[in-house]
Amino acid sequence: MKMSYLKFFCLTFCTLSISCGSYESVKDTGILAQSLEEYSHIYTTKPCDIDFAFNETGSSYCDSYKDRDSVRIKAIGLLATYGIALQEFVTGSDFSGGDQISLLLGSGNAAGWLNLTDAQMQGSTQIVNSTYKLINNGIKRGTLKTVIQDNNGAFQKIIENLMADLELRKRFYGTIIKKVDDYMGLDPDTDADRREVLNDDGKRVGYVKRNRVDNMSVQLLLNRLKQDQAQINPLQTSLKAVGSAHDILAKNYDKIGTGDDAAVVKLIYENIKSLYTGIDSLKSVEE
Amino acid sequence: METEELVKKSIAISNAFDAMATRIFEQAKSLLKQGDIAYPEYKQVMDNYYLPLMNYSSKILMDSSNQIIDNMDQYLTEIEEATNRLNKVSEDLKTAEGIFSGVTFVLAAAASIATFATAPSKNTFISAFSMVKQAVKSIGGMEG
Repeated sequence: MKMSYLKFFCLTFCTLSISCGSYESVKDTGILAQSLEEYSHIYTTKPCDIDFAFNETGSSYCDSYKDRDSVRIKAIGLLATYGIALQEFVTGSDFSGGDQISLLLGSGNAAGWLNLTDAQMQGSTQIVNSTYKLINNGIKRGTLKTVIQDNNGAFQKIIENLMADLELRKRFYGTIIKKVDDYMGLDPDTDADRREVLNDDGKRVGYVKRNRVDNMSVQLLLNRLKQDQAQINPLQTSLKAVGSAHDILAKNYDKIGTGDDAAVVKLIYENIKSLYTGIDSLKSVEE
Repeated sequence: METEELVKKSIAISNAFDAMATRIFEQAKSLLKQGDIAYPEYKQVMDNYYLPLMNYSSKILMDSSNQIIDNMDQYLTEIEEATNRLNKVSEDLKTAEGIFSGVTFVLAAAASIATFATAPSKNTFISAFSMVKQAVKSIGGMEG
């Protein structure tokens, strides 16, 4: 009898403990990853459209660079989709069989098949009612452990490669902007791209752009390039934030889905608050 | 070569080409302004020396970028599979939720007070309860 009570209270305690468990850390990491998609437009800019102006016959390296933009966009999209999957995976279940199960246990007790006190009745109902949540939580924790820990290496590599690629892209944009400024400078005396416009007598009346990209188009493309160049730093910061959040999840797996999850959220928050400018979007953090 | 090292070296080489091109541009511009060279000569310097050097400066950056992107395939596949796995288990959990909900509904219907009051049967109750156990087992079997 003593053992039965012990078992009963243990089960009740476990059930109540699990109900206090949280996956906010996973959810926040998922939201952070989704925010990356806001920057995918960076990869739709074609810097080679300007660079091509300097290469009359075109250049194979520009073509291969453009070809890989689809991989870059896919990588960002994949991280965002993974973020959605993480968030949806930890969304709580609304399932409750409370009324039906109470009815069943009550009926069994009334018929004299179960000798339960009121407290035991209530506890038993809660245990049975929470069984699904208990198992559900076990499955979630087990699956998350495997997914997050096994794939953290790949996740970090993607982040590292995208950040490195962005660093080079930022420099590449810089070389194009410099080339345009130096070679196609607004001072007609030093504009290496100018062509003389002659009148009928063969006298010079002015200059026009010799290249296929006229001055206005060049300036428009340059402005877009400069805007996108400025967006690279925030994307790098976001990538860093997502990478460190995922790394924290992988290193603190044992706390996820338990009452200690708040400590993981705090770790993520503290780690990224200096990096992530949109910190206000982390609504789940409670001090 | 490690990614970080590749980026560092590529930027260093790119900067070296950039610096050479800048020196040439500054000198040519200065000579042109002083009248030591004419515009056609200035343009030749820009086309034959400045542009190729700046193009090399860009090319080394782009080549390294391409190399980094080409090395991501395996990692992208891993994350894609992880996403599919999360979605699959998530879907399975929803299905299990449906099964469990259905079973309890059947149990509740079968175990209604009216039924028990009129024709109580311990066997029916135990049998109904074992259905819950089976549902629990089937849900528990999904992990892995």
